Amino acid sequence: MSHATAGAAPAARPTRVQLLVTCLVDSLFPDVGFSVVNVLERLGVQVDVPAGQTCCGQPAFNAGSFDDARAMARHLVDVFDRSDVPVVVPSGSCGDMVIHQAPALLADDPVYGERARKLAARTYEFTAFLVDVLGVSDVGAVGHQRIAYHPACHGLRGLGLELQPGVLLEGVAGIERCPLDEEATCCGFGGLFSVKMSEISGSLLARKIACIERSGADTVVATDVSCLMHIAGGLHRKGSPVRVKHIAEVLAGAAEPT
Amino acid sequence: MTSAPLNFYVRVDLALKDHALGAAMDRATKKLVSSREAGMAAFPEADAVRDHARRIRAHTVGQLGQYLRQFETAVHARGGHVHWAETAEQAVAIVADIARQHDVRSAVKSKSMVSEEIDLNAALARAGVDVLETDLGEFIVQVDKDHPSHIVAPIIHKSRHDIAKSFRGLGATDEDVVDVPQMTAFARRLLRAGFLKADMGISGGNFGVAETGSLCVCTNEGNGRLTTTLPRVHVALMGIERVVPTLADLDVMLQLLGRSATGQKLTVYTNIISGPRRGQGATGAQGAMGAQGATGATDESDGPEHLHIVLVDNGRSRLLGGELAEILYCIRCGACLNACPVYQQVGGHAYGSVYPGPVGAVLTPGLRGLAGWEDLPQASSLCGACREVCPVRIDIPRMLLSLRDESTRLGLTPAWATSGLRLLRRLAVRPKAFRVAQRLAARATRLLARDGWIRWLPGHLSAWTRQRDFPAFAPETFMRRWERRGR
Amino acid sequence: MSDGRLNVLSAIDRQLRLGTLPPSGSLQHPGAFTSRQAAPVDLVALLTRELEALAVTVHREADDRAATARVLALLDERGASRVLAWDPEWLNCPGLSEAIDAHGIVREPCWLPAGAAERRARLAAIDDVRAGLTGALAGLADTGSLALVSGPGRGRTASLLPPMHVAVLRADQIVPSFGACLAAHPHIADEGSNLVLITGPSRTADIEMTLTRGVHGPGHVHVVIIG
Repeated sequence: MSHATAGAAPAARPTRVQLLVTCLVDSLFPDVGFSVVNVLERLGVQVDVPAGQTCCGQPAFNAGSFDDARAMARHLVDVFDRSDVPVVVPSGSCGDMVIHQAPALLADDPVYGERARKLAARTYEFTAFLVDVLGVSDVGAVGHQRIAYHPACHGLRGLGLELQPGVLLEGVAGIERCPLDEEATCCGFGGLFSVKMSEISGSLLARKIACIERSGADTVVATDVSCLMHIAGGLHRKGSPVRVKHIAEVLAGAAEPT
Repeated sequence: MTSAPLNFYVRVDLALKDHALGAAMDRATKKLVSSREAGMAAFPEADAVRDHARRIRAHTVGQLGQYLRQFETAVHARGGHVHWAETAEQAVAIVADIARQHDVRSAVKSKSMVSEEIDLNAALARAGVDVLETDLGEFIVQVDKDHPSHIVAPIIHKSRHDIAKSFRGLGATDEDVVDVPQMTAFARRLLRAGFLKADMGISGGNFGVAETGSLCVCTNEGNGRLTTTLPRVHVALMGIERVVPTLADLDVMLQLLGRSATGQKLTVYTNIISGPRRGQGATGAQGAMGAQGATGATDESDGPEHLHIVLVDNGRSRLLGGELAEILYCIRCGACLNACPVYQQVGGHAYGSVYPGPVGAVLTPGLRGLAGWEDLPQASSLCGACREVCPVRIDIPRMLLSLRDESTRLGLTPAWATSGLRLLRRLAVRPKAFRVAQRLAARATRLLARDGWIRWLPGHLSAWTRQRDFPAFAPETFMRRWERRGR
Repeated sequence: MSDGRLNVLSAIDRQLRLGTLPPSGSLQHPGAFTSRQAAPVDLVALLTRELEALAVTVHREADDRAATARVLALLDERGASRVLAWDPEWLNCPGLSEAIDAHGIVREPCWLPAGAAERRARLAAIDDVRAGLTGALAGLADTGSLALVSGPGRGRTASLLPPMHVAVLRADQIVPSFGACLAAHPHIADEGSNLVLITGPSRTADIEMTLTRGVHGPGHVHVVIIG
């Protein structure tokens, strides 16, 4: 259940990928998308961005609207299986959706079941793609931040991303890693949980922020803008100077904070 | 199953505002989590044993009828009785009946979650049987007329001051409550008197072993042994799903239960009971003589004269063969509770059900139906910590999602959420419309935002802004900028 | 309640027949678990280490005479004028019971009458016995446990009621694990109505997660290993 792709790494080093930018990056943090493209192009990988992509359906899935989730997953399959190059997703939760949940949701669909499985087999979360597929740990980035890394839950437990983000951060010259207490404890976002159970979500957020403040970091980094959006919202409400960045921005050596 | 009178959100609110509770939960769950981690780290074959244990549970649950029949036959062969209770009411009636048959006035009880589920103590009190809880935590719960908040450590929500106060109410002196060892000694003295005069002992059952008709009761305090040895009658309550095929299978479970619960290799007492006391004179003929020893070569000297095992269904059979069947693999170690960030924040009482935490969020709606319990599967961020620590690798998040799906189909989810998602779906499958919606949202959020952040969102979305700011939509989406770059 | 039995079993059978398989893959029983761990070399040392980690006091004695002296010393330390004891042939130490008798300590049997009033009276009479003395079926090295089977002459109460429990076993009774014990005793459930694995003194951490020993079962456990 916890593999960063449903299939094996491709035999030859890919030179071309499709980017599944994700609806949150698309709508709220487009710079993250450009950072992903920069990093991949710097590594000699050409990036296509299929035009019809919208949302993978995870918000509906997590909320238990399975019919809506299936419809959105089918649309995603339609958009991404016109080409058979690997798909890269800068999100552990969307990655988990495409790699594990969508094939399960569509398992009984006579047309989309097999297509979803095939798509899952060539879909990779961004850091897993860099480390496991391209075999890269140093993308030539430089930085200056003091970084606390928050391992987003779906990426960590759903996709098994225990090592890849750390390996990549190690390779960034000039940054300092600040250990984070209760690192693997959920930040409290959880999709619609953040609204439906907002008090509990807020309580978990407060706890995560307290750990961040204790860490002495000036920047929180994660593989998922969903967690980052929630954490940043809390930090900003508090008037905290701590910024958030998606790991792609750190790897692109992006100067502007999100 | 008792459910608290307040609604879920009110209970959660009370819990989050209770700082003493927060401190107690923090201390307890941190300790249990690190103990489990240490215990499992020191267990070289942990992963292989977990896989093996899961397969045993899956196999057994898949053949449950066969193993329960085998269990019953084996128990009878050893002189025990097996009773079958479809419902909580039947279970209670069976126990009350046994008490009546044996002229029981007082009973001692070791921990049994099933007994909480069927609200046994209250019913027995009505039948004129005094029931004394002997697990220290459950005893304190009983004294306080409270409810347990954890399935292994019932009073992790209480401080020693709370307990000292309760003990004073029972006549404890300052000396008796000066520290934890003294308080424990006070409880021990009180409870021992109960053990020595009780007519009946009521226990739970951690596992039943089909092949040998054995019942396994695990405790640390020794109350489980006293309860099942001293009184003349022993009644054990066990959920129908708790059976395993053989003693070797029991061994596999035992390797995981203690370690997952508290990091202990085994609980202090692993009590494996195969029938009542054995021997020709065991059912009473020798009582009057008070002889210095048993008379027959095959006579055991102590133990209960009568053993009654009550198998309780109470909604479990309905889960078989379905999406929630996997929850029946649970061995009630409590590891999922300790690991759950939501449980850590709100404690057990917030769930309002006998089984709290991740297991409760599936089991309670599973056994009782979603109506009235639909909030429990929603109270999770699906972080997966529970699945990670479960000794038999139960995929709780999958079942929470399945319950959420069922909630939607039953119309139990709020309309704003379902219509919002319906709208999202309609937009997502029509990219052009999706882009238009993005542009509108960008415009709207930029109106509400200051310095790129929104402090207040209208309607149901205000729940977000109650807790944190929301970022404004970007002036231009990634897709639009990509398009403009002409690539 | 045959209605209950019929209804529960038919509900189970019906659900299993009609339902889809639990999402767990193969439903075959996985068979016995085969450990890849090497068997421990020095079982006595391992058992001793595990017992001591549990706050059990371990006494290694060369022979029956030394073991007898040790047991008598433990009883004297405790000020025990009576001991709730297993029958002589089950103590794993020939001569021990006679020595206890000669020492003037009364060996109480674990006998509990079946009648209600008599049983209460007997329990009241043995309530303040300060020590319990048993043998054991086996020592389980990997968990630091004693496996005790009840049976004629081997009452449960000896290792349960008094505040101190002394268990005597021979070094060759120590096995690597519970699994090994079960393998060596394939009909263990026939040997007595109660098999208990005792892993340390009685304890609780219910109050503020603070560990306290000696709750209902014995708070002091001594294991005498002969040989």
